[in-house]
Amino acid sequence: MKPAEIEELIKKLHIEPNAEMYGRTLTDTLKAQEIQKKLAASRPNLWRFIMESKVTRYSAAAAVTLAVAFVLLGPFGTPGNDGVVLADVQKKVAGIETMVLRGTRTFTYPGEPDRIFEFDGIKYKFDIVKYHSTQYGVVEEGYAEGELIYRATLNIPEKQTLILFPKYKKYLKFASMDAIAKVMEQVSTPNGILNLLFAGDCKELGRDKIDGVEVEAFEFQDTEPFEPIKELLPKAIFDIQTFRAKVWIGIKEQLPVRVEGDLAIGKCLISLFHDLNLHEVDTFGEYNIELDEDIFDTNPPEGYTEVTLSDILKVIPVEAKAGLVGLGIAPAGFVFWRRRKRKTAAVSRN
Amino acid sequence: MVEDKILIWRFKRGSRDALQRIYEKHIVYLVTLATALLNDVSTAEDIVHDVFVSFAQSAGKLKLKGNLKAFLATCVVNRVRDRIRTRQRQPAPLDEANSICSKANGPELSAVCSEELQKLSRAMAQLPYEQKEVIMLHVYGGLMFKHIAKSQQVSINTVQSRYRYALDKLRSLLNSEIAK
Repeated sequence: MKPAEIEELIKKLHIEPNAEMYGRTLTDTLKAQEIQKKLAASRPNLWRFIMESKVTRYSAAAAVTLAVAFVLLGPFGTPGNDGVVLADVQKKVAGIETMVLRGTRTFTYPGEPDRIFEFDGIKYKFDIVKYHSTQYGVVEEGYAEGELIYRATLNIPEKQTLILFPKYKKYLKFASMDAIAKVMEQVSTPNGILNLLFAGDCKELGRDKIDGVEVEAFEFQDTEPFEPIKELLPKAIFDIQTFRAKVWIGIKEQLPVRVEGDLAIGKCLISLFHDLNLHEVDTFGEYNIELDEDIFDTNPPEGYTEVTLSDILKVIPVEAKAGLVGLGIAPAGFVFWRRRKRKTAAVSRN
Repeated sequence: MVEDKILIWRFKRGSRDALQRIYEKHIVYLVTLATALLNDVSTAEDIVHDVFVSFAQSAGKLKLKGNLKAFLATCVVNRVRDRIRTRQRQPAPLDEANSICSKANGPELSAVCSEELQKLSRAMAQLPYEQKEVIMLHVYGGLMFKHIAKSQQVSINTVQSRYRYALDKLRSLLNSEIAK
């Protein structure tokens, strides 16, 4: 008998466990998992830790806002098939060092796709530009009617996040907590996004052509890829009710060409306590171009002041204020004290 | 590989279905591996039972870098070693050993064990434990020598030597059986 034959024989070894052992082990294994889940639930969770500090509360809320943006804008991958091969897409995406994405993001009311959500005079229909560097981080700029409304920078090496609001000359800056930074890294790196999407159900939509490029389209319809984010924050902060994304991958290039995402968001802090739909369309094209390190700078520009709790309370609706109190983000006394102060001022003016 | 990645991802988030799928997918492989190492089906089943129970408890802290099959195989091998150490004995010697096939406690096994496999299992029972572990992990489990070396805390050359000795011994044992 030759070594190769012996090896083949070893590979054929096959022992079926008896039925009693099979059933008992499975039952005990599943029972152990249930006990473990109960134990984990009784431990203090990350959310409680976040909510204990004002800084981390803001950080978490801001991080999630960015995370949604990054997930929707990221280059997606899909399970393999005849035209688009998963391994090739993965390899290509893993090789992306930098990219620039452009698209639009629109918030509308459910059932009214033409009614754009408006807040403080700003229509929530943004033209988006996103700069991504695996080395430095991510920058996203949101423009409404040509005006820069926000600029968010996540600097990965410095673990700092800066969000600028040019209209108000305000900024929000915070150090990313390790847990948040980890989630951000997961959802903002191409490979992280791939891994998240692998967990979702995927439907093949067939071939198409976009700007002369032959593509294959896929649809993801599952909220599961967002589970890591949802684990970090409860529904009151960020309530993703449904999630759907279509991705078009160039057959020859084996890279994403276009992505379209739809999220239904329930009443929560992120949607300022409105039920909203988010629709986003992005096109890809600029991969591995040179990006200057300076654009990932997280130092606030001159003339900007930090966002405070009173700034937030000034601009959000009463319903949202009640929501903030309910969440423990704003103390009830603080909200009512400010209302009383305004009332007193009005009385004294009269 | 991708399926395992998804299963692990879901398992870590508490999915019962994922755990059940992992179990169904790997149970036969692990029972076979443990039985081949111990020459004792019931102890092998106990070990696999314990491996799955502690795997289920590890969801929160599981950090899996390699593949799931190799991870579970390593868990089984570690427990087999512990069992052998605590009993202060090697697996049953040749004359007492029940071959993997003859020890089968269900009709399923005898059906799948051909005469050739029975000869193999008798020959395997005569290998020193370290050699048997190397040959099972490499050939049956598909683990690379460097991973086995790490698990056994020996050099890769030692693992390769054990593999060669094991194959040589198996060949001579099987050929002598055929000659009979």
